[in-house]
Amino acid sequence: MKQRRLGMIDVFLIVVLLLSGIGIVLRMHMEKEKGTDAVNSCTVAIFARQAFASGLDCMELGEMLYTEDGNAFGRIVDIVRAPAQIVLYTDGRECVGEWDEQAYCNATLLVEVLGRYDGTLFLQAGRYPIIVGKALNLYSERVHMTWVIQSVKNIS
Amino acid sequence: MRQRRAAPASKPNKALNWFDFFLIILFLLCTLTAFLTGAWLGDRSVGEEGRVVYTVILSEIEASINVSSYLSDGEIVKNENGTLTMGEIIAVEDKAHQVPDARGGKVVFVPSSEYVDYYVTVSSNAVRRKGDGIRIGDVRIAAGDSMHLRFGAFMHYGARIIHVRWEESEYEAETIGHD
Repeated sequence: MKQRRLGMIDVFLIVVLLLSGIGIVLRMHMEKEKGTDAVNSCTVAIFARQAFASGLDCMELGEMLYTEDGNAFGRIVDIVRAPAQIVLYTDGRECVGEWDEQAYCNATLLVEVLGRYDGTLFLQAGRYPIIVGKALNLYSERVHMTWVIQSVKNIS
Repeated sequence: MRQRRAAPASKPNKALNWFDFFLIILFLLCTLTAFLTGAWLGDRSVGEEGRVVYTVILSEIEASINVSSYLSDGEIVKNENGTLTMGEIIAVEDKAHQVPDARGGKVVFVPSSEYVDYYVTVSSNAVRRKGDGIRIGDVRIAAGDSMHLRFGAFMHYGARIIHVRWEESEYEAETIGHD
């Protein structure tokens, strides 16, 4: 009876199969880890000064915001607009006015963020601390803006 | 004359046998599963092709430069190096640049006679992916971002995207109102 030895193709296919298997298992493990980290939720208010008003029109309630790395940050719950101030100084006098609201406005977004609260800090996705005053570079599907965390509330 | 026929040489059997087929089928199944579950490429593997309509503002362009001749409907817009087509112009609106000024204790906006703002609406084929936004080639199209654009022989550095719309069939391409 002939004895069959493994050829190069067989070895190659077995290695690729093993790598695929390891990849799938690792991926599933990572997804699982992500899920278990999000045991709490909170509402984060983020603020942008003098935002392009037409850019804000491109955001929708319920839309997910993403970080630069492509990780989900949180879901938009509310969009609040307020007039953006402009301050000019002439002859040593301060003159305060408002930008045309069609052009610029101040914007506050309320975002529902999932993560873990350790009693002191809320960790978004169990890893990234939500700290008031911290600047965030966030993307929605059609908008890219820099926001500053204004408050963290409704931790549950 | 009798010729001696050489005995056939024993060649190694190179045909694929059942074990090879088994491995290949297993490999294909694994690849298919990985692809379908996004194990290798993640959510980015699934992209939706369509059209993006975006408006950029070319701000504070000197009125003495005759830019209008470069910004006509149908004009092709390219990136800085001219290596990527960013779409074609579908609408142009020009407005005098507004300069804030303090008059009588109030802030008023005075139209500048020296500078003009151009609102250029561009339409292009693009790909939309969950978590990755809308892209033309490698360039992400997001309101708030700036990019260097070339309109024929006219170049503008730092054209700011102020509005982006994913084109749905029921909507007509239109400029965004800038009253």
